Amino acid sequence: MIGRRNRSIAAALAGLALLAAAACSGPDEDTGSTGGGSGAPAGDREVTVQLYQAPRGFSPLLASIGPDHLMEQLHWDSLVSATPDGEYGARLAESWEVSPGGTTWTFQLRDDVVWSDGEPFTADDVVFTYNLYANPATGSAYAGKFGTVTGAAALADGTADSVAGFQAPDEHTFVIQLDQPNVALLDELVQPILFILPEHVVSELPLEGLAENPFFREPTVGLGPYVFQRWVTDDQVEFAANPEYRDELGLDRIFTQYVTTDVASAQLETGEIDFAQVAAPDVARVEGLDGVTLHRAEGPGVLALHTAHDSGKLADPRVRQAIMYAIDREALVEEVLSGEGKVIDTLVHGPEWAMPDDLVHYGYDPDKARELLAEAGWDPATEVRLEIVPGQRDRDTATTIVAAQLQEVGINAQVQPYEAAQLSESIGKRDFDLLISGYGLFTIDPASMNARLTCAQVGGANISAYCNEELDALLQQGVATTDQAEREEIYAQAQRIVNEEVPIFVLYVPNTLAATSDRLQGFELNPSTVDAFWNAAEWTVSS
Amino acid sequence: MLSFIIRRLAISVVVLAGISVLLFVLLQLMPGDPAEMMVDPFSFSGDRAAAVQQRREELGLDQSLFVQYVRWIGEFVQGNLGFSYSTQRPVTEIMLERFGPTARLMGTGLVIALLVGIPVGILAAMRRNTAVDYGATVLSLIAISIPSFFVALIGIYVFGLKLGWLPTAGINSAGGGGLADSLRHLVLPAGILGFALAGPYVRYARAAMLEVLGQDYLTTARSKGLARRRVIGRHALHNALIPLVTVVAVQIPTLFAGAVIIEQIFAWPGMGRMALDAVRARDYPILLGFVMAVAVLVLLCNLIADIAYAIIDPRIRLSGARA
Repeated sequence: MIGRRNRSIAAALAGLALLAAAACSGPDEDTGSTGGGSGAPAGDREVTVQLYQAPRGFSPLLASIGPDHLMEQLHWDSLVSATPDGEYGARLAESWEVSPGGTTWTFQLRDDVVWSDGEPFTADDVVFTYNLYANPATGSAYAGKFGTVTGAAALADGTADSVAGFQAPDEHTFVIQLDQPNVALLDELVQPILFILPEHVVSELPLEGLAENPFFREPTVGLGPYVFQRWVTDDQVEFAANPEYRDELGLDRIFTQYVTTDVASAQLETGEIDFAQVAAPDVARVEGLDGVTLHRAEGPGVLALHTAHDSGKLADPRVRQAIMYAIDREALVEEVLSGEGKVIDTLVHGPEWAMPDDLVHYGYDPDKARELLAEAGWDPATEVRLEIVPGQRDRDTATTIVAAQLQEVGINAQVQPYEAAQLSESIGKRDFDLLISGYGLFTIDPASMNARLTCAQVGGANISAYCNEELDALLQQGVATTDQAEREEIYAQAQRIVNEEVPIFVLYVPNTLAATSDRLQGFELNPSTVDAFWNAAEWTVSS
Repeated sequence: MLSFIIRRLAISVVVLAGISVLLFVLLQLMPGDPAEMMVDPFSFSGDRAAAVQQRREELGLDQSLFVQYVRWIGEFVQGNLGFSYSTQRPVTEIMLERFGPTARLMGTGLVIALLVGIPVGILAAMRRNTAVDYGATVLSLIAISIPSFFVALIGIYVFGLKLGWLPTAGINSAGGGGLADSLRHLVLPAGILGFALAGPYVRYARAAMLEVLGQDYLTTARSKGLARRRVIGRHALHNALIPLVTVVAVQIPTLFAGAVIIEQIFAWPGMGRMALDAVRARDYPILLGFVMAVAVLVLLCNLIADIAYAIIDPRIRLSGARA
């Protein structure tokens, strides 16, 4: 009897051992050239870079998330993108010009560009891709950008198969024809970057729901410097140098790895990673690390509070001004960002010419806030929710401080923690009071405020549903005027309205912070966090 | 024996069906709408309400809860768990990808826990009330009471950052890196998981051994003049190990729960990390698949424990057959 028990137990233990052994030889075990042993990035001409969220894939048609947008900069390419100096930089388009009336945009494309499978890149690829962006049937998140292109409406209501306003007069010229002038059209093309897709491959796929086609999980053809190879694991992706790339490349492979910024900051120290974002409180520590360089730039985006103007709760501009005076924003920057940011008084904070010097500065002034609230007849019992998705140190702290400071002046502010899905839902239901969110690229052209503040964008990117006819008229003039002096005057007026009306409560502009290992050379920080890989073609490693 | 197994299997299926209904309802009660979330308000440009409605229809979220459930269960019995809301990939495919890393972590952790916990527990029982026993008891209580995430952070700090002996996170270095590299990445997470689990094993093994040591038949064996080594080795040890088989099987779901936390801290691309990401993204199909997988695992482990026990201990089988 004992012998039999013995066997059973032995069998059970052996089974467990087998399970463990089987588990140790998983299918993703690659006996690559990179011998194990060291924890440092393997290989001489390879780097590992951080993605701060889990990536989905390479579909530029879907509403952009940071990690996808970063990977797409390696794999795809675009007509233009934002440069670190806050200008539009040439990529596939060598040059561009807008007609004096502001209704015709002409892009001269490079003639030396080839897809990674050897097919030439032409203006037809651009026309094809822009048609996909403009067509809601593909699942495109950006159809709203092209509402004023000639023939876009006909495509949307099904009376045309393509947008008449996207044209390719020859192989290397792309033209956009607009019904209404827009001299700031480029701003729509760089945030997010509108990447170009290969017509000879993607046209084979079904149009309906194209944005979610599995092709974009493992794209076979690319145009960028480093093209997709494989998903090493679900959060690590391997890219290889594009053999057809137009310039000589400094690396053989790039690995993108999803790790949280906390983990990445430790991996910088051990040399396991070559690029990572840095949280403001970690700046001093990262600056002290050997072999690591900290990069810093003034940010193009904002952290702001948003209210549903159509709900009417904060309808009186005096109440909104009072909220601005009640918050000690300078102290927030110190407390939350360790000083890594600045305070501004309008949404758009660049370029220089778009900033009139007579804007009201909302310095910390709780007495003035109380005064304004009294004038407006504000009822201190009215509850004002501060909607937040908790989990990010800076926002969590900022929200707590803001709530306390609003209560101080007699606004019954209550922090309302939401899950991300609830937050989106509250926007859909038009039911939010002071919703905290950070985003944007508001420094290249003041027309960047159009998406957030014009009546036409209500129900879309203007989530606050702010609609002011006077401002609308100015913003429309602003994109219809080519004369620089005139534009300056128009936007000075527009900025004064935004400054006084406070449609969006800007808390601060956080600095963009990143760190690279000394191995990685040629990295140039783009102030836009999601554009960090914009010059990957120039990256090399030090020997 | 066969009828015993069949009856237990039948009960398991009923329990599983009940769990699936409960889960389905609970998940729908979670606040927040996945269709709203998939059309990100801050980056979407265009008619958002229409886009949300289009998503809702594509996903079948406009149907009644009952219809949604019937559809899902119909696919489930065919081994198809639907498609992820966030990546549109088949859930079965995602879970299979994630299973390997989790099994690697759990399997190694379990082996470490068994190899450490059981011998230490038995040794403690045999050297009862000596320094060895007290030492083992204190260590096992530490393993039980200090949360594994804390041990993990200490481990990363000491072995990863300060000493630089082991990598701080991940399942391998960039691009794979071979067997040695994988093993180096496995040491910390699996070791910490095994350490946490070894604590209870020490306690169980010690208690089981002490109970057996007090039995009359051992006194008999000793009075027959058998050598101490033989009394302990053949008579006591074998009987003490019987209840441990059950403990190990029943503890596997606990191990799974521990792995979820360890995966999060070590950026380990396993099922636990997948599940947490799915909660944040309201990815119902992945969540359903994951929780059903856990339910199956729990039921299976209980079943195995029952069967193993019945095989090893004839008394259980007899009473089980009669009941």
